[in-house]
Amino acid sequence: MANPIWKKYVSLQMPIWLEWISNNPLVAHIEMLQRFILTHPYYIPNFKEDNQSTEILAQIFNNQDFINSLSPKGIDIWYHSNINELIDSLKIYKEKYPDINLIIELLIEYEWWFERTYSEFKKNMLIKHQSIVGNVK
Amino acid sequence: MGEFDDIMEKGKQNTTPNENRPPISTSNNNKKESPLSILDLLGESGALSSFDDKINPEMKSQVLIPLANLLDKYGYSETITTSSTTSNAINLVVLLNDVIPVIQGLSEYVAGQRNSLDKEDQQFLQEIMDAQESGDFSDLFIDETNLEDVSEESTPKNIHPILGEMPTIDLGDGKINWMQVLDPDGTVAEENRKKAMGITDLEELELLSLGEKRYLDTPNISLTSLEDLAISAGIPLEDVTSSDSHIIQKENINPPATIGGIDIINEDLVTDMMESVVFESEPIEASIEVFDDEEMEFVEELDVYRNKKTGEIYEVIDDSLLTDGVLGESAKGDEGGESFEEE
Repeated sequence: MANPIWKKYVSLQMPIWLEWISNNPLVAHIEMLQRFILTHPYYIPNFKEDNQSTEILAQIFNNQDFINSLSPKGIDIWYHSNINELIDSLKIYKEKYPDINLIIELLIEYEWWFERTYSEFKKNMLIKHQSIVGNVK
Repeated sequence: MGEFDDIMEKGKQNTTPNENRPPISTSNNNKKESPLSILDLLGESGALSSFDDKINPEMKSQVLIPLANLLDKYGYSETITTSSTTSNAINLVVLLNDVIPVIQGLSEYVAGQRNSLDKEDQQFLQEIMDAQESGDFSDLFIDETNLEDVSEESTPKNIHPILGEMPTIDLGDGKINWMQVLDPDGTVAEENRKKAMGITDLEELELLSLGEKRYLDTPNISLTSLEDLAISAGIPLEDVTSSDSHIIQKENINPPATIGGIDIINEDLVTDMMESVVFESEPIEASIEVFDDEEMEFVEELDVYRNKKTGEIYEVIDDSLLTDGVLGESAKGDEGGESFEEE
């Protein structure tokens, strides 16, 4: 059973991803990211879209609004999740959309790198979330 | 020299014409055929009409038709592979001028065109989303309605225990008008202004005119006098006062013992002190000066004279004192002027 947080995240993000894929050269982006990973294996990049090498990362992971919509329990589940659970949530789409399958293969191939990078990304997202929640309270 | 020199015959050129070689064909020598237009092919009865139907109308107008016109203009539809026109530098510039609008139209079309999801994809994704939302994981997400409630509750009014309700202060906005924060209605500032100007409220003026000026904060307590208490108790006032140990009756006052025997002030000591003071002080004659009237001016307010040069103030002394010889002979010698005593 897939992680419910990732399932909802993927279902919400999938239209955005497919539209981005149809308007951007996905294979070229994947190749760029592969080169980035191989040349910077221990470097944690910023999830900013202005960096072309990691633009696909921002497209996949960067959604602060979704994190802010999580309850404290949801935040806890999301924070302790891993990339494998994201891959499980993506598998339902890979039959219909081959491009999503390319992304899944990328995640599987460089899981070690995504796991480490995303853990750092989660910390930053959580700090932002706490600052926003703190301001609301 | 190369390594294949031995297989080549030196000093001999192949001058014999190759009969098997086909003659070089020139475009001018070709037989003129009826001109073939791409626009005609794209027309309704053309061979590419089926292809034309599948093309986006916007793309057709912006890209395809200008391109077909261009090809027809330069005869590319007839000899698409060879063209002597392009070899001419002058014609090349003309060609570029014609090509640029086509490229521009193509780039505008590509830039403005953005792929979006088909209805089928949208329906597919919506079905998956609906299926996943049916699960009982609502506690993992914040409901939007609850989120609005939280945001409304999260902004309580800023109430100070003494000053009452206060506006929200954001220190990041820069300079803060604390007077506006602490006295938003301006009542305190108005009271201070009235106090400074000596303005009294009309109500307070009315109380003053009626002689009822009183402090509102003072409790309204009236003390009953001793006479009223005595009358209410049915006891004469004399009995009350006589029995009060704090009240000293006149008949009980005894005259104090004679103090004649006690020498409180030693008269001899006082006399010595007075004499020393009198003789140590400056003799009064030395402080008398005589000035002309032009040197002095009279100050009416103080009833004194002031020296115009030095500004010192002098008191007028009656000349009779001088004539009586009280002040000595030295003062008499100064004739023609008034006598002044320096203050």
